[in-house]
This record gives sequence, structure tokens and C-alpha cells, in this order.
Amino acid sequence: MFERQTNRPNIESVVGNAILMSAALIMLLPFFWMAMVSVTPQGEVYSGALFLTPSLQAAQDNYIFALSRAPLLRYMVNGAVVCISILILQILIAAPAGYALAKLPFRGRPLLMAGVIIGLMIPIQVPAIPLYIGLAYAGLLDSYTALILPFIISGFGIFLFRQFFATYPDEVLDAARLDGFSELAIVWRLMLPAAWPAVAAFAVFSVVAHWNDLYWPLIVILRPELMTPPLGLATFRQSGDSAGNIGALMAGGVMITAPLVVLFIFAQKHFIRGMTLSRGKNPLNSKGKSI
Amino acid sequence: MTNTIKSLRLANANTVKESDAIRQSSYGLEVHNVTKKFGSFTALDKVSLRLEAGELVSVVGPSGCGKSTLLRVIAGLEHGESGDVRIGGNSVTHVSPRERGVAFVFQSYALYPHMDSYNNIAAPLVMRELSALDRLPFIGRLLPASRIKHERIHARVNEVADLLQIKDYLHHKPSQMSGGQRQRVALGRALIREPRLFLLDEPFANLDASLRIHTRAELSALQRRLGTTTVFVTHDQTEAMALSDRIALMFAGKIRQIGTPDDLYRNPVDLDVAKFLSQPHLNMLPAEITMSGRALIAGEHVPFADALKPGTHGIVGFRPEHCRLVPRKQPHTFPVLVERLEHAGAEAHVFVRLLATHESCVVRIASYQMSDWQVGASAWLSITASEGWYFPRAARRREDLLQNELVSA
Amino acid sequence: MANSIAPTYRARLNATQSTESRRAGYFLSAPAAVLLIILILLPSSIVIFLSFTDYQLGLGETRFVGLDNYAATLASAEFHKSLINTFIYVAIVVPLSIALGLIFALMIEARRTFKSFYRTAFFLPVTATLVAMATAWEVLLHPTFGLINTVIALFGASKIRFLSDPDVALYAIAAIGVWKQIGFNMILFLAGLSTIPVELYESASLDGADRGWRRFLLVSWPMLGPVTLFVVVITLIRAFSDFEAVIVLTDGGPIRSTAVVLFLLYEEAFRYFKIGTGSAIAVLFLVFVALISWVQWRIAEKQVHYV
Repeated sequence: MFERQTNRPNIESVVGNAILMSAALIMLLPFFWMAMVSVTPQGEVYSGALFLTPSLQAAQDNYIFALSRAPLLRYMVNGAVVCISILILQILIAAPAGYALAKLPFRGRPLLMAGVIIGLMIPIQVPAIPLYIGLAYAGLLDSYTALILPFIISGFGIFLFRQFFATYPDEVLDAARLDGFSELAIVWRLMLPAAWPAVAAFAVFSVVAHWNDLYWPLIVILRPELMTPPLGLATFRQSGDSAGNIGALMAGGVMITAPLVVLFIFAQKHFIRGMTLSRGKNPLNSKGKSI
Repeated sequence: MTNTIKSLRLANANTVKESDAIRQSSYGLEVHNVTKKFGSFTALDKVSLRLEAGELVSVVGPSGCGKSTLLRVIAGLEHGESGDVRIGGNSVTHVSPRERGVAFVFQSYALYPHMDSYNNIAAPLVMRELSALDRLPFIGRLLPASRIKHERIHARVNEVADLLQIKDYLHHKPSQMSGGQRQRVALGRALIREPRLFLLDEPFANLDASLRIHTRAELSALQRRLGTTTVFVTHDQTEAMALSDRIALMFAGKIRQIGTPDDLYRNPVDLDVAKFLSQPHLNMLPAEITMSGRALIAGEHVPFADALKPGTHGIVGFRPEHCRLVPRKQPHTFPVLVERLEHAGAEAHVFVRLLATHESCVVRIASYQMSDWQVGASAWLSITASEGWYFPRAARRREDLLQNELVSA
Repeated sequence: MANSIAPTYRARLNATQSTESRRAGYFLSAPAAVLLIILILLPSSIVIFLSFTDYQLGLGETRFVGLDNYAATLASAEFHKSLINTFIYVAIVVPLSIALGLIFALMIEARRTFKSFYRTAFFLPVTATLVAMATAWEVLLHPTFGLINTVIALFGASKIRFLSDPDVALYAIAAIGVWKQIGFNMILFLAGLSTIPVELYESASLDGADRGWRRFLLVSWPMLGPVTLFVVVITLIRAFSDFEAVIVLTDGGPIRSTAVVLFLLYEEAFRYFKIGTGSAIAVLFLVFVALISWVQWRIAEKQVHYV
């Protein structure tokens, strides 16, 4: 940075870059290899070649095979429906609660706050069994509802919004009340737009978590047409539908990984914020420069 | 509603003389015996205040005296433990802030940070006159009825923007504007819905000095034209003196005196009031009133016009302009030592110390006279007998006046 | 100035008196409160209750069995095995991913070029779908045609059956866990490094610790204390909860060598529907998470805050 002398042309820098570059390549290796295998003829992969030679024909074969054997697009649509529904409901529920906790004094507020904090620390594996039993009794297993319902309450979202809303100036709220805003209008028209970095980061946090989740769909979903991408791919791998076609399996992997990876590359800042949100405090407000 | 704005535009175009501007608002304000406590702290102690329709009253006092709380109680943002607030004769004590029809300009302006000026100004109308359906992002514009509403709001925002000359930055966000511009936008947001009352909480505090005087004049003219009853809170007595029809002076949760600027300046009810309205500060000398009714100050008998109660002790207060320095001893003067001279533009202040009692006083002189006095020189202080007041210890100077003013409400 | 702020602050505390805002508070927080209870707090309490019963899904009668489920679980060889597997997994993933995350963060911070490329490369595994990436690893690790074995063979060593050799499989799974976690820890450390005031580095360089190891020991490491505590806790909890790679690649095998505790929980509860046993494991997991959070809280409380 600033204090680096320019006249030291840097054995250190060369070595550092060499180490980091090799490490980065190892980190990226599975991505690269997955993509390569998905466009390489079967036989060549099985030969254990060190360098693969991709071909358009093989790419076509693999992707078409994958799409014809497993409803991958359907899985992705399911994933999108589930993630978007969860996100919208989470925000609809968490934002007003976050606002109430930040700005409205009401009896029971400390109790609710305690509940929220406990709620955000309990991993899904703990309430999973009773939730499963409840959904079974309600006849809701194997449905979108089963995939969505347990996650519409996000203790984490409430906590995050509360932290963010708490910094909103009280005088502006008073002005809004005089201007005729209802409390709900304050949430939707003032709080959320002003807290949009928090909303964006939370959206990333939520979508990444639920797009990638295998645990819950594995428990509640049996019907292939309701499977989410990870469950669908795991099933595709195990069921023998891939018929040992590694290229096709990798093609499936590429397809379900691509949306988030592409989004990540375009919206890195929000991704990093969103993924590291679980830092108890509000990282968006930390005095650190952007990272 | 729109009539006012029309008349404003006319006024703006100078087709109507200032004197013709109609005082339209017919809403007076009465605050009756309001008490407000925060825990054990009493912010407002049986405060009563009455404004005639169209009047501009400043509430002045040191910070923490309860003046902002009073404004918030009037707006309905705080609720007093007891007492009543009436707007236009109707009690609003149990009416929510949004239904009181008051506009509030906050010290911080409290603009909506993510909205541009246009939307800030439009917000009160959007929230009051549009239904939830009208407000929907796209659908709202498609319904014919709501399109008309949107157009009407658009027209009114433009009228207000014209009036306040803020058209150039209608599409700037608060963070992109200067303090003065933000202040105008905040004013626009208050004006647009033609409120029954304007409540202004130190609206000039964040402006620099020259802009403050300019804006003050504009606000005064605007208020006169609109004729909207206005309560103006400030800690700056000069501002209050310059703007107000009347001033209410608050100390520790109570209104100590209310009256025209001139009345307060010339006739303070007590020492606090006199002190608050003096610059740079009030001169105070302990005095004893002899049985014959003469004031004995620092061993001198001084003639004094104010009512003096024989046989009492108290304080004589006089402003820097109520005394002068003379180079030679004269009757009823005190020998003093010149300690310090301060230039203050047209005038200057001479700080002196009484040789007899070591009390210090400040004397106002014209600045061109500064060369007449040197630090360390001796001089004689003469108090103008017709000015200045006597404040008996532990009593108000003018009990009568306080009674009359406050109980009339 | 402080004087004029005080009343406003008091006003906030006192606004309780406004019934309107109190009502709004209830109204706005009610959905969240109800759902919080129904979806998180109540089920978490029920799971504790279930752990003391022999509840079977679909069967009518449920008996209270006291601590039987716990006793049986704690006594079972399978649980012991999974506990050992979990500890090995955690003992690899936690220190390695934290150390590498910290080293890479420090190295990236010191670079002037390619910074954002490195950040992206290291963080990408965190966002990618693990199920897909595990499959990609499976191909790389394949005993006959996997790239890694090809490279091993180039050096003349014999190929390794990474995922089917019971002595190796757990380590292979742990390697994937490290790969996935490094970027997350690195980003947290980078964030921590960026909050260290420049003045501290400047005064350190005046004291002669201007670069390298000495500067790290004098300034960076002590300042990273709070971040490190958080990284340790979050990595611990994540490592204990990891089981997706297991379920996708090895299904606990070969010969239970990769069956970690949460995999066992999944099996008991949702494969064999032994709700009581599953619940007991879930409660043990909850106790573990609570314990770690409590320890973190205690340490954080005592910790000196530098910034």
C-alpha cells in the first residue's frame, strides 16, 4: 500500500504473487475441471488425461443428455420459486418487526428481542424434527409450502434490519408522521429504501443459503418435480440416471452452479457483505473501508 | 386550499401590495396548563400560551428549558400528562399528529434522505390524498382518477417550488444540497399542504450567519403573506426579536414572560428575562433601598426611575447601553478601572471594574470612541436613571404583568 | 449541546405513553413474534420433549422414557464412531481453514496487483453450490481417472482411493471442507485488517516494526483479536454442521468412516424415523451450539477492545 517503497522491486512481491496465484488456481480447480469435463468426450475423461481437449460435439452431447435425463431446468425453476418466495416473505415479516424493535416502544419489546437473538442462533437441524412431524400431520410434505414455510421467519433478518433502522434519524420519523405516513408506510416507503444496502446483502445471504441447501429439501421432498437444484443433482448422481456419464453430471453441476457464480462475479460487493452478514454486529456499518 | 397559493403567486408577482395580503388563516392556538414530565424531570410545568390567528410567536429560552418539548406537544409528537391543546378552538389533545393539520420544520430539516426534493415536497400530499392503490408504482398512473390526482400534486409541487425558488434543485437529493437549499425544501414540504399551524424548531440554527439573516427576512415576509399562525422556537434572542409579533420566554419548563419584543426588552419581569435579552450581558449591582426610597449602590445614592420598595434589598440591572463612562467625577457616578476593550463593529464594549466593590460592568460605546479609553485608565461610570430596573430579592419585578398576560388564555 | 440532546433522548424512552405507537409496535411485530414461536422456539422446545419419549411417526402410543434415548445414544458404538469422526473432521477443518484464511488475507492485503482476482478466487467456493462442487471434487479425486491421481501417478506414487478407502475418506471430505471454508475466513480477516487504523502501523514503524513478521506480531495480530474469536466460533459451528459432502459422496461410508454426528442425526430421524434418538442427538447438538456461543460471549465480554 502507501508505505511500500518502489525501489525494492520486490522479490517479496514476486514470491507472494506466485504463492497466491498457485493457491488461487487450486481453489478454482474444481470449477475449471467441472466445466472442462462437461465439454469433453466421455472417453477422454476416462483415460485420465492430464489435459482435456474440449469439443463442441461433446458439449452438446453432455448437456443434452443431462437435460433429457434429469429435469434440471425444472429444478432450477423450483429453486428460483423457493428462494424468491422465502426472500419476499422474510422481508415482509422481518422489516416491520425490525422497525418496531428499533423505533417503537412497546411492552414486550425486550422479550421479542431476546426471542429473535435465540432464534438466530438455533440451527435448522434442531427444530427440524418437530417441523417435519408438523408438516406431515398437515399433509404438507412434498410441497412448495414444506420447502418455504420453515424459513419465512428469519431471526437474522429481523436483527439486521433492527440494527440498520436504529440509525435512521428520529426527527425524520416525526416529520413522516406529521406528513401523514402510517407506521407501515414508514417501513415500506422510508425505512426499506434507505436501508437498501442491508436489504441487498440480506437478499444475497438468503438466496445463497436456500439455493444451495440440501438438508431440508432432502427431508421433505420426494417428488422429482419439486426438487431443488442441489437435491435434484444429488438424486441425478445417485439414481443411475446419469448412467455413469460423468460429462453429463458435470454439465448438470455447471448449470446449477452458474446462476450464483455469475451473480457473484457481477455483484461481488453485495455477495461478500451478504455472506459474511452472520458477523453478530452489523458489518455494513463497520468503520472499515469496503473490503 | 389552492386559493392561498394563487394569492401567493399574485403577491409574488407584485400585483398585490404587501398590505393587501389577506390573513386567511382562521386558526388560533391555545395551550392550556400543559405539564409534561420525563421520569422525574419536568420539561413543561403548567405551560399556557395563546396565539391569535395569524400571529407569529417565538418561544425563546436557554437549551433544556422545554421549548422544543412544547412544540412537540403542540404537534402531538409528545403527550403531556395534563393540560389541553386547542387549534382553531377545538381540542386536539387526543388527535394524532397526522390529523392535527400542523406543519413542522425541524432543526435538522428531517428530509427523507433517499427522496429528491420533488418527492420530499410532494410526500405530505402523496400520503394524504392518494389511496394505497393510487400510490402503487405503475398501476397508480394508469387509473384515470388517480392520474388526475397525480397531476394535481405535480402542479402544486411546482407552485411551491416557484414560490420558494427551488425549481433548480427539485431533482437533487438532500445529500446533494447545501444547508440553505435543504432548509427551503423543508419549508416547501411544510407549505404544500397549507397547514393550520407552522411549527418551526430552530430552522436557522444550521445556516451560516449571513444566510441566516437573509432567510429570516424571507420567512418573515412569507409568514405575513400566508397569515399562518406560527410558533417559532429558537435559542437566539436576536432572531426572536427580529421576527416575532410576540415572544414567550421560557426558563426551566415555565413561561416566564410573554409580550411584544419591545415589551420584553424594556420591561422584563425578572432578572432572568433581563439577563437573557442583554448583549453581551446585563450589568448587575447589589442595591439597598433606603427607607426614604433611594437606591444605595456601592456606597452611592443613585436616583432611579424604576419602582423602589423602601427597606428592601435587591439587584439593580441595567444594559450596557444604559450607562456611560465619563472622564471626570460627576454626581452619582462610580469610580472604575478600565480592564478591557472589545470591538464589535459599529459599537464597542468597555469592560470596567468598580473600585469600591470590585464588581465588573460593561459599557457600550460607539466604536469610534474606543480611542478615548485605555486599558488601565481610571474613569467614572454613570447609570442612566431613567433606564435600568430594580429587582427585589426573591420577588418578581412586575407580578401584575405576568398575571395579566398568562391568565388571559 | 449535550443539554439539548438530553430531553430528546428522554423523550424516546418516555414515548411509551403514546398508545398509538405502542399499538403500532404490537401490530408490526406480531407476525414475526407468532412465526418465531411457531417455527423456531416451539419446535425447539418440542424436540427436547421428544428426546424423552419413544415417539414414532404414525404410531399411536407414545411413552415417556426418561433419559433412555440419551443413554442409548451415548452408549452406542455408532455414536462414538460418529463423534470421533466429527472431532477429526473439526480438528482438521477449523485450524487449517483459519490459518490459511489468515495467511491469505495477510498476503492479499500486502499485494498491489491482482487483489480483487485473489479475493474472488478464494471466495468463490463459499457461494457455489456444495452439492455440485462435491461432485466436481469426486471427479478430481477419482481413483482411476481423477486428475489428482493422474498427477500422483506422474510422480511415481501409487494412486489413492480417496473416497473409498476407509482410512482416507474422512480426510478427503475434510479437505473439501477446508477448501469451502478458507474464503469465508479470509474475507472476515480482510475486513478485520481494514479496520486497523493506519496510525497504528505508522507508530509501529517508528518503533522499528515496519514490516513482516514483527509488524504482524506487534499490530495486526492483537488487533485481529475480536475477529479471530468470531472466526473460530463460526468455523466451529459450521464444521460441526457440515454433512452435505458426506451425504452426496460417501453416504457415511466406507464402513462408517465418514459418518459424522449430524449425518447420524439425519439417518436416525429421517431415514429410520427413530424420532426419539434423533431428537436426543438434536438436543446434544443444541447444547453444543449454546455452549460455544456462551463461551464466545464470555470471552468477548472480557476482551480488551482496542478500537
